[in-house]
Amino acid sequence: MSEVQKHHPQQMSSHHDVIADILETDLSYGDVVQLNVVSNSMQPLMSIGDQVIAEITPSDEIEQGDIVVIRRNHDYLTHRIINQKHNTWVTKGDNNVLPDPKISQDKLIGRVTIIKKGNRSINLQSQQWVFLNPLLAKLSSFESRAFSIHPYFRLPFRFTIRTIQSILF
Amino acid sequence: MLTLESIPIPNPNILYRVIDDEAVLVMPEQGKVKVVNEVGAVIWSLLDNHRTIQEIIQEICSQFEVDENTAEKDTIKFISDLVEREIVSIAK
Repeated sequence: MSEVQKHHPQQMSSHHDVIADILETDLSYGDVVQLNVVSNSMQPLMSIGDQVIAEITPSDEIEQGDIVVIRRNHDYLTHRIINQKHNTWVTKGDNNVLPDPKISQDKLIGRVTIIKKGNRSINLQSQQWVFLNPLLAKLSSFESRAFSIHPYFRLPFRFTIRTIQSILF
Repeated sequence: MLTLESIPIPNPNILYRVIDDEAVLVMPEQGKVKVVNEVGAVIWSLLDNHRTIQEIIQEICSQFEVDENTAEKDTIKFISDLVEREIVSIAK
């Protein structure tokens, strides 16, 4: 959300907290929220300057491979779910090597349904993405495990993820 | 064109919180946020679909140490900005 970034860091943290609180508590299932992408952790799918549309969704409808907006500490982030166990999720940015710390499912704000890249839109609910998202989650998860053995072992997974996403663009 | 008789109507899709001396207004579907200062937060809280800009100015003068001319100028400028951002519309 661009305008908040104009304030100094202390204000920004406080405002992000308020915004996350509003998104978490004032919206109902089915409502949508548009967010500006502010990091490249999901590249090439999402880059700084892109926008995402997220739909407020109950956590039991979320599946492995979905890209979700979750509240983390005083902010929120948009990453892919690569693993789920009981009431927790493991998320990871497609462009990150390591996953994020486990997070409780009650931190969910919504599921990303559309990514806007300039004049183009990517519909993550289309058949091809519904098929590919779980696959990308698996590859992303394998990449992290391979990296923990040796940094070079991650490269085949990274290459495959990049290739799949490049073909779809 | 805003006049003192205009009635500003807050956009019902705006979500907001008043915190400390400011208000955070969120337009979820547009992905926009507007943070307003203490006076702006008071003006926002006065938008009740009935008050005219003149009545809002009078309220501002009673709550803050400000002369009516300054309050009028600042309030109209502030509400014009909100109208431009589609946070507020003006009753016809």
